[in-house]
Amino acid sequence: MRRAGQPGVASVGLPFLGGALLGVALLGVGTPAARAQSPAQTQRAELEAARAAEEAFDPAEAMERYRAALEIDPSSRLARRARGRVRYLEERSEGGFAPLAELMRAQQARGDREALRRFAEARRGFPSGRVRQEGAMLLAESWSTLGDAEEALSAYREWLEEPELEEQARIRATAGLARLLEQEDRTDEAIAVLNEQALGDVEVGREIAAAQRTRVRRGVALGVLAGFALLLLALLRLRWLEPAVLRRAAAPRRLLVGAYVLLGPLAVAWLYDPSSRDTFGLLALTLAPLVFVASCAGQALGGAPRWKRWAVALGAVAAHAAAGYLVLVARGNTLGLAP
Amino acid sequence: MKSRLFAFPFALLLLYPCEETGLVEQETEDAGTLDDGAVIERDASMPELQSLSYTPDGCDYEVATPELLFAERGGDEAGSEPTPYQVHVGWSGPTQSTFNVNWRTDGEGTTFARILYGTSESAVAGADDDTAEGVSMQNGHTLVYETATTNLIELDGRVTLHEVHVCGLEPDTTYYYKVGGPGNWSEVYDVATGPELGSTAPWSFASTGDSRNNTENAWPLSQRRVRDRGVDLQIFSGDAVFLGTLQPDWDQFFSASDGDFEVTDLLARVPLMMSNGNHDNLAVNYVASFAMPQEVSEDERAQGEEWYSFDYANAHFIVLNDSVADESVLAGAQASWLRADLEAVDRDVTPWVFAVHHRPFYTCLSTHRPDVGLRQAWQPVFDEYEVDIVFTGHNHVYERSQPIRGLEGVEGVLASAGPNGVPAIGSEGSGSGRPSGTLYVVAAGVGAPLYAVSDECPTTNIAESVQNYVTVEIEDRSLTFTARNAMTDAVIDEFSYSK
Ligand SMILES: [Fe+2]
Repeated sequence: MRRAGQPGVASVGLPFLGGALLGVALLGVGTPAARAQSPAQTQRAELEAARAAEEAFDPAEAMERYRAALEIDPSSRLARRARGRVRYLEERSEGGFAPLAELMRAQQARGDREALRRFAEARRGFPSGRVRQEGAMLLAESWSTLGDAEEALSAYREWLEEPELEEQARIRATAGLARLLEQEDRTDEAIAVLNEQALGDVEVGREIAAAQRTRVRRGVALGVLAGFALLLLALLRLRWLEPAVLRRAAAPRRLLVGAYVLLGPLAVAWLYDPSSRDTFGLLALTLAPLVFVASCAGQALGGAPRWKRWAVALGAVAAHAAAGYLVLVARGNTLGLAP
Repeated sequence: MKSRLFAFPFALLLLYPCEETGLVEQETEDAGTLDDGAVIERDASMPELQSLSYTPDGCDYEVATPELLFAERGGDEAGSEPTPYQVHVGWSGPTQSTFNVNWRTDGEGTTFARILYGTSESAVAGADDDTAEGVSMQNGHTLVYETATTNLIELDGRVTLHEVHVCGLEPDTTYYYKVGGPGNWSEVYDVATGPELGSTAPWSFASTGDSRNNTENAWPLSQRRVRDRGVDLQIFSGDAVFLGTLQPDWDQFFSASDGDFEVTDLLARVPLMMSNGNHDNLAVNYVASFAMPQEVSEDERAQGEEWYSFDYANAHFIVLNDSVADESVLAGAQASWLRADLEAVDRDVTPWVFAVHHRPFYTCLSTHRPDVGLRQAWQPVFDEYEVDIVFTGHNHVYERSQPIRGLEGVEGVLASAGPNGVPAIGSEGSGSGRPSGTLYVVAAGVGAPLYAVSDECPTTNIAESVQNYVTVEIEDRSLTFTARNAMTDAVIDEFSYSK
């Protein structure tokens, strides 16, 4: 990462900067050389001077230079750049450009935490207007990008408390705050913020709701697996691990059936949907032990009463579906269930 | 008995389609799984489709429409709601002497497809036809396509679009224009032709991508930022919308606003050059809404708009499509076209070469892994012809690679780098002025939900998970590249080099 003014840009940006300085010098003294320039060249020089002023965080000077460029020829292709910048600067001219100069510095601050803190302090004194609003957003987003959750949370809250907050900004601030809280595993607070602002329907609200549903379903799936384990222990203790049972469960015919059950779907995926090969591969791997355990339990239940065999069979089906669901969720797939 | 019970859940699994996703951070979006609408089969009760091709007056290229419900040269009818909206400009021909405009009207029966244009704003504003001094007129075409508006099963809507091409213009000149027909004109917009090819004058472009979903209204905000930078053109790396066949998604793309700014304020003035993403999926809505260069090459669909190239000032742009129906096209017909196109580039005229496509093949530990197949298909060509920067999207992040030149197996080889990771520039013999490697940029997320990303990979220079846009300023052989946070305008990455 590089900051403006470091050697990286300074050395390679010389053509621009050199031209800009030359432009300023020529215009400033009004030498015969300046007068000899074509209007197009003069306009270019003004634009370069304006750009240099922006890079030096001097919006007032930049505005003057852009306006001068526009006056030379408002209809040239390059005048469009001047027009764009003049509009940008005009919309942010509150407080005589001093707040904008601070914002421009902060926009270049990147990882500089001290600069962000200084800007946060200065911003509180800005008059109301676009710079004050954009400054609040910049702080919240910057802290968030830096991974500084506490700073970011308070910056989002400060932004939300801005007087004269525009609707769009309110949505952005709320969504940003809710997303951050969710990332910090503070889901309840995230939901509270969304409800407080009556914005449960913004994308992040739907994401949080979906994540919560997935968490609940994952819990149910884990519960089903645990339940199946308990069922086996309750009905069979460890009888399903006896050598004779294991031998019967590992009979070639049963292994073949198991392989068919596990590898069949994988084969189908392999042939028809290459993008889901990984998912079905993982499914086969995860379900293999479950199939084997269920098969052993079936053998161990040889002479057991009918209800016991049914209980284990149904338990096995449920455990199977639960394990399958967990694998699919881990792979980012929810079997068509609305997330 | 029991093994049959075990098989039951699998039967269920096989019945379910696999594109539904649960985890927001792990969306599955393979090109092949999104519906391109072609599955909605037409039966005998549906009207027959038609297409149109013609050479606009004064142009030396042909314009062709897809097969649609209606496609005819502009007529004299003002239908029930003839007011033009969603106006946007592009290039199908030379950037220094042409431009094209697309717009929508509502209701039934509007066939107006005219443009009034000239270099005097007041003359164009006051004119109702081309009898006025300094005002010219051109007639284009009108088309109607059927589209889904509520779900993907039903073609329950119709969209009327109008398109016009203007040629034979002066380079480096601002033109004022309005579109529509007598008594029903749009407001007056301005668009500028590019400088003469090879020009050393300063110019700039923006790059954005993945506006789909428009999370937190980031798309119009990014376009406001781009407008305020005053760029000459904008490239887009794909995934404009979530579902390319769903018209409301496109309406959001073309009509989004941020406060007093509407995206039309920019799109009607600054040409937007699109590349197809897996979500756009070359749907008729996409193909009909944009007019891009239409040279049809082998295996190319969308009347030649699937991949194309154009020149602006001293740069050559290549726009590729990596979200194809048949993957063999990537290393096959498209790579052949790419090679032939780059072979024909005169680097004395356009020393800068930029490529744009959707799915990155250098990206670090994000939702979509680097597409190694694509890397093998295209990187050797990018290397051979020393492409300067490749712009991609798909992972909704900002990333810049180290300079890369060559492959060892399937791994990219790091080239020597100058300060701040820019390519080292050769100073001797035939290497003089030549950058050591290509920079691969992922600049996506002006509305799509952000993904995680890392800068841990050896090929990665910088990576950040932010909504972002890029501007590139060029003056002769110097380039300044700036990536900014689209929400806050804070600088994420910046570098310059000359060659
Ligand atoms: Fe994508």
